[in-house]
Amino acid sequence: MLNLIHFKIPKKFLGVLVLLIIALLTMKFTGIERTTLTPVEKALRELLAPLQSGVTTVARSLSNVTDSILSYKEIQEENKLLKEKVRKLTIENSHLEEFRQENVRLNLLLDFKRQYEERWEMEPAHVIARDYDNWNSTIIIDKGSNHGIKKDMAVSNYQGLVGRVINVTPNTAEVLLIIDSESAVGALAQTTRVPGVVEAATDGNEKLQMVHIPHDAPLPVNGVIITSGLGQIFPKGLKIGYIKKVIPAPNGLVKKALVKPFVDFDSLEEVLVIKKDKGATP
Amino acid sequence: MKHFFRLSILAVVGLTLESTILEKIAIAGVKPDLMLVIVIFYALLYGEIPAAKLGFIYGLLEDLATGKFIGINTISKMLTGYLVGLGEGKLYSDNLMVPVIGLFIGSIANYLCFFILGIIVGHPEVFPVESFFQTIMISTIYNVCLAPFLYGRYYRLVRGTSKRSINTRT
Repeated sequence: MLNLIHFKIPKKFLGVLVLLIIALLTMKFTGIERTTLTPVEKALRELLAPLQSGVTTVARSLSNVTDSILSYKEIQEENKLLKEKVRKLTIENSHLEEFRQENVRLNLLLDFKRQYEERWEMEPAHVIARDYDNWNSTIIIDKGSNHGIKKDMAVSNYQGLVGRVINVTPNTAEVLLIIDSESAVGALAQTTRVPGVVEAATDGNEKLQMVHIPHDAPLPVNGVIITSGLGQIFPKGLKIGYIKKVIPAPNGLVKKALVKPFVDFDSLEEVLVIKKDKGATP
Repeated sequence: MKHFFRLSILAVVGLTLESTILEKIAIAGVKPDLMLVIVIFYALLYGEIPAAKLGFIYGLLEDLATGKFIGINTISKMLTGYLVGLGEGKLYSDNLMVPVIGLFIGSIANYLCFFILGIIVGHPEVFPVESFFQTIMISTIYNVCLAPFLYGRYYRLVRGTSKRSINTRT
């Protein structure tokens, strides 16, 4: 009994015990329900924040690089599949674009046909070939005598006059374009009714020229040139082009006009062959 | 002073890494406890009293950084440092098996202490019994696995000695 009274608690143990009690109390009061931090905690967090930010940024970058390396094979496979898909879609897209453009052209051609079907009987045709050499400007179409196509029939599209048929086989026809040097079309200015002949231009940048115009005839620049109907080949009223420039001839008696055709001869794909003039007035 | 400076740097590095990239190498949500590893290594080299002091400071820093249950890591790491430090002088600190065993015993002691304190404070939702054994085992194994990679470096850094190999024989 006496021993127990004189029992001395070791200082170390006492210190740890006090520390433990303080710690338990602190723990109790700093549980998850805390709403504010002490200044010491705030200072420590402020000290660590830039370091944490730096390490996280570096780690994230490294992680991205590592992920890229680890998934290289997978990415390669995916890339291969995507390339194949892109190739297929590109082809498909190209076809669709082709159909779209054809649709636009055919719609315009149909509009043209509807507009003039009372005046002319027309046969639509596809251009299947171009001239074989550099000296002639002709096209081959996929309709011939089996479809009622004959020599000297006028050929047009929704833009304007294209040319005339010069050779026919049962299923094809050769069309001499109006820009060929062999071609000559009776024409007149739409507003001033000045007559002339449209042929392939011999100089300047334009493909056509209108000649045999009296020097005092009124020819407005930008004025539309249409077929005159004289010569029995081209029906009257088909648009040819518009005047870009009027040039007086050196002798001063006549003048000529450079004409820009409405038809884009470099991209002819569908045309209409005018088979018969029904005689209706334009 | 140099010693104090090195330990301070280690504390900052340890806290920073624990809150950043160590999350990325967590297994089943458990990551290695770098601060504990440092305390245990220190205990093996300097004995129970210095290790208890370091455990106290490191634990307190961790608690302050966490901002919750301040004291739980302080006491756990202090007691762990003291316990592992008792082996100092009785073992060859340059043998690789020493830190391995030290980390094993120290980790289990630390987590047990941590858990008991958590139970005493009375927050079972924060310290769930069900996952306790899983957490303690993964953390311990994780910490032990760090020994071969970190002990030699730590030995040289804290002791400030020139490069020397750690004996890997048991």
